[in-house]
Amino acid sequence: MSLIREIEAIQNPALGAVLLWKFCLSYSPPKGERRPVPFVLLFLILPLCLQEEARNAALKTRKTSGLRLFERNLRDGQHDRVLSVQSRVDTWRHLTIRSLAIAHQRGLLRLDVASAAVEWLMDDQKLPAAESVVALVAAAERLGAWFSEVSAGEVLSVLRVRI
Amino acid sequence: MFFQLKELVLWPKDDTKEPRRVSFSGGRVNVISGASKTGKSAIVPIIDYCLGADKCAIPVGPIREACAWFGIVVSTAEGEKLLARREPGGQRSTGDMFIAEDVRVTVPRTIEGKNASVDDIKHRLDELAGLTNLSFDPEASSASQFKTRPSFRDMVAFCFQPQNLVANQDVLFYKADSYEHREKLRTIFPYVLGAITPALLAKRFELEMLRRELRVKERELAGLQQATARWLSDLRTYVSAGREYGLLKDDISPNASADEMVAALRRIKDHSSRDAAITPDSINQSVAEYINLERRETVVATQLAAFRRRSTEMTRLRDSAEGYVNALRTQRDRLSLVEWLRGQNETDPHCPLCENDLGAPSKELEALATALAETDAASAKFRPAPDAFEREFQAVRTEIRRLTDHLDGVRKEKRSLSDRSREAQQAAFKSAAIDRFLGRLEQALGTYENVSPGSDLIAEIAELKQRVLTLATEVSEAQIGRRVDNALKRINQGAGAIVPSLDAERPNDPVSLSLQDLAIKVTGSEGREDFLWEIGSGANWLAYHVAMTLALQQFFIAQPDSPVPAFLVYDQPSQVYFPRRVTRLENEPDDPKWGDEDVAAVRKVFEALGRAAQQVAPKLQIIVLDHAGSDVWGDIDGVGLTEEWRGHEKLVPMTWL
Repeated sequence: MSLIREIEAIQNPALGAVLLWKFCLSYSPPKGERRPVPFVLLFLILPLCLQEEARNAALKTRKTSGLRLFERNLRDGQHDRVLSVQSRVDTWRHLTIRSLAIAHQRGLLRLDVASAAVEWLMDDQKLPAAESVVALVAAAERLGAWFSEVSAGEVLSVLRVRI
Repeated sequence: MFFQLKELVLWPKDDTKEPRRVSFSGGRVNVISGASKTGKSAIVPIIDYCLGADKCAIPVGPIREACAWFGIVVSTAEGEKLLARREPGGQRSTGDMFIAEDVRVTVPRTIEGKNASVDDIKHRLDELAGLTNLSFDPEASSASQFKTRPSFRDMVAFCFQPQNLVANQDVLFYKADSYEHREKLRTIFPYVLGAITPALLAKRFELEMLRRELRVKERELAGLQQATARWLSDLRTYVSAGREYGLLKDDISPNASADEMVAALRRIKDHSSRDAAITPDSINQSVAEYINLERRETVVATQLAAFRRRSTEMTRLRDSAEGYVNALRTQRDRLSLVEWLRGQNETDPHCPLCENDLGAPSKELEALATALAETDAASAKFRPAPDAFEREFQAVRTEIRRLTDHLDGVRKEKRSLSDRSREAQQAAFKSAAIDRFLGRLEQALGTYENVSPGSDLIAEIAELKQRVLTLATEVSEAQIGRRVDNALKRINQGAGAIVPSLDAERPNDPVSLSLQDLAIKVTGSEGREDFLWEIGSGANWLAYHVAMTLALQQFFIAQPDSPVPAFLVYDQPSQVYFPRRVTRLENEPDDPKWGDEDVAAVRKVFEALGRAAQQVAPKLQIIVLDHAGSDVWGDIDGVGLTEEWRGHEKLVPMTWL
């Protein structure tokens, strides 16, 4: 298998779709009030979940700790990972859209163009996934919890990302 | 010695003129009576010049200007000799001389040129006088003039009493006014007095040589003894070193005497380090073994390196295989949701943004599904570690372990060999040290033997001491002193016999010659000894001079083989009765009249001289140059006129000038 195809396999939009869906579920838990996810936030998910160090930082940070602690953990390291978030966001914009497309087509998520927001459609359910994928999902869920606590603007500001 | 003037000769510069010749008689008093400025006082300088004086003291003026050569004819035991010397001209002096020797010498009309040098003449005169070659002081260096050999020139001091000396209160001897000559005279006086014979002089010389040699040898011995003393104090160290080197097997107690230790050390002297173990062969063997081990080490190390490389490659291969499997797994994992998603219905086929058909997601999912299938297939095919590989890998690791152990073994062996070899080196070094020790020991024992009683050096010293002792008794300084005293006693007595006949104030007071001062002392009634300068009056001085000089000559004549020429020249002895006037008016007569007393006094002098000459006739010749005319000294036995220089008669003929 060629390297490109490997990458495509590793960072595929099917996985992305699921991650986005899980993120939205976590952002606006079914038990609580329905809150649509600001569209822009979706573009942060795949970069933060699919990249190993960011993922590790997310998994290291407790759900209850909050975004800012996650950001600090993200920052801890040899280089400024926060900045690399921006570059990955730019690089995987297209992947995010493809993932969103699959999620939309398969009814995982509903995109409201008028409000530029996304809502989960399908109910939460356990998925037949390998352990490594489970970790990815966990990361996406934590992101959901943290992003929901603050405004979208604040998220972008803390993570120093511009969409 | 018999040495008397026969003639005095002057050769004129103008060779058309005949030479001027003054004849003397031997064995008596010759008087040249003359007025002032007739050349009387040139006589002594001329004679001295011809006898090899350093400088020409002949007064400048008519004499020097007119004469080309000066000469004397002397009668000696060997016959006659003509000694002539060139007038120096502008120089202070010249060494050009002319000598003629024969039973009877013919005086040449002219002298063509030199045929000898002054040094030749001096040497000739020394030979004539029988003066030895030996230096007077054996330790004389050429720098020390005072103690050079006695020469004829020194003897001349007893022959001349020039005008300034004949009644001089300070100086008795000719040339003794100069420091060098005084010293020389003082040194040779014992010889002149016969206190030291030539044989004795030779013995004295030998004695001094022996003494010097003895000193050198004694110093050498002392040095050796000192070295040995130091070495004896180190004996214990030598003994313990000998024991340490395994050479000294004997049991030497710490209190052993020096002799015992020396004896023990002598015994080991003949050992050598070959008695120690290590030979060059055994060293070479070790070296060969070492080289062998190094070769083995290299081989094993190379093998080991190869295996290690193999192991690394295999490890890398295995790791990459594992990595591949992991990668596949990851892909599979990530693709795992595709199926689940495909299983979901298409809920909304339209794009929310543009209302178009949303076909892409499906297509993507299809593609992903394909990828997933391929991944599965690949995983199934690939087995990361086939058994053969594992077995091979283990075999490599085992071989590595084995080779490592082997290499360690070889290296250990090398190290131990090197340690042993180092011991071999040390042993070799030690053997060299032993050899050196033995060398030192041998030398020290040799030195010790040199200073032990039976040694050659000590024997030599003993012999030298014996010879010195023997000679010393022969060359007794005391004896020489005694002889000198005896001689002086005779001389003093002689002088004392003459003084009463002269015009001295204290004619009966004993007269003595002080060698130390080269002066005459007169002993007063209280026992005090007075020098001439402490006694006043020129008459006294003249009297003592005459007495002493005559007494000395009498003594010399009485000696067999005396080197002193037996002639005397007195220049102006009457001057004390004829006071010199500092200034003189031109038309004053230069021939004054004397009082009767003065005449009588002067006559006494001539009488004494005549008597002295007669007593030993014909051995002594006296020449007197004086104002006094025959009225003063006429009719005295032994006194005769040689020439009278008055009016137009002078030394240098008027026609020359």
